[in-house]
Amino acid sequence: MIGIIDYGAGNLRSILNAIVKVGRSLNIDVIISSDIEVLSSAEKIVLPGVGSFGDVMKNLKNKHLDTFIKNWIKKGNKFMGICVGLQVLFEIGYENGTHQGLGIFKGEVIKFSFATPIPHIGWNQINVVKESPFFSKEDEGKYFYFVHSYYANPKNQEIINTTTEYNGEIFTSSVFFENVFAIQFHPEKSHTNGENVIKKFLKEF
Amino acid sequence: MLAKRIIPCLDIDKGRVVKGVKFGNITDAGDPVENAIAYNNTMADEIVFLDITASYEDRKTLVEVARKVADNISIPFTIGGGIRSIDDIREMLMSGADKVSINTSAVKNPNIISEGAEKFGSQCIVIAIDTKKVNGIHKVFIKGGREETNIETVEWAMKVEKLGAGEILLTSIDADGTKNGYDIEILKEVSESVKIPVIASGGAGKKEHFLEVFTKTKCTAALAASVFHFKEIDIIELKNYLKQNNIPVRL
Repeated sequence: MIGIIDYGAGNLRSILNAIVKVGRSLNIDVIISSDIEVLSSAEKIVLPGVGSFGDVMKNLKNKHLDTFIKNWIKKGNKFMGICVGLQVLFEIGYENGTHQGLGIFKGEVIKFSFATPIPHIGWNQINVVKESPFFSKEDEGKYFYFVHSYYANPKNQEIINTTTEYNGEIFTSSVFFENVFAIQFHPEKSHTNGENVIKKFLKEF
Repeated sequence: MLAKRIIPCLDIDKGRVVKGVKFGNITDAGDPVENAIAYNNTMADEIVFLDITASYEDRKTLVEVARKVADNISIPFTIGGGIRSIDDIREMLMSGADKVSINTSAVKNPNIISEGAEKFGSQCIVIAIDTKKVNGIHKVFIKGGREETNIETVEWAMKVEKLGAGEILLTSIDADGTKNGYDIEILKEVSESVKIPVIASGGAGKKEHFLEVFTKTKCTAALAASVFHFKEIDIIELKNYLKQNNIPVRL
């Protein structure tokens, strides 16, 4: 069973739909919940990101989901973060003020410094920095859908799975380290390329 | 590299797709969900739905359309037309739309932009601007192009950016429906005056027009309706043509 964390904000319909659809084709159940007990029974957890860094953290804290996620990851359980769900894995975010993140990875979440227009909206390509269960050299140049103004800047370069270039500014578009995988783009909006990433998380990881 | 986006637009009236020319002469063009699925499968980068009547009764129909579309496509889509309040925005986003497009209400009550951006994030607030040249000056028009305002288009574009809009969808009323090409003059001026993405709209008639708007302006997306509906231009062919001309596109 796959658990999607519902922290009570924004529209999770698309991501839930996408994962349920892929799950169904693979005979895997998907549940959406904010209940720690229910989520604990899942085999893998997805944290979708909708809203700003600070809002997501606030909502997670209100439901004690921040501690749950930290423990989940510490225990070596499989985890996927999407968009702001990637960003909050880092120590600090600067969207609308300074906010503490979950601190799973060292580094900050910063605004695009010179690339315009902002937000970075649309289909952009990935550059595969290291091989992972999710991306290989064959995925080089594939398009995914992005919507964001901030990106994670990891201190430890080893966690970077792919980078993406936007008008001269190169940023981390996905990270992978041991049991944690996270992507800045939206797989649920990235047509078959996005579906394949979800498939890999559900089935092969 | 970020791909230039090709965005088909579907005008919706009472839950059906319709197509008007120059904000008039309406003809039926099918079921919105079927249309959306077809575009999803033929390399459209996003889809925009504009509810052209947007009466209270039609609202529920539109919400239902949004739900069905969200369940059936895996590219982003925007819904616009008659969005008047924060509750309207929330309803559309909760139904599965990725963004809402706001036009008349943003002019009448600019606070909806800042409030919407604060509550849901700039990325889902698209401000649609209808523009027309009046005595040599580009003015903002509202109510589906029927009512002229005193606001100058470039000024308004800069203001909506400041208020927190995530994108501008700029339609030239002069060019719309003519199939003579995008209104390069105003699109260039607006896209160079703001730092948020500008979607070009109105006037597309052939492939060359898309190339022109991407080479002569800073617009990052181009929207069209009838040329895609009536299959005068195939999106994949269009993208191949753009690629041959060194415009980055997703294929």
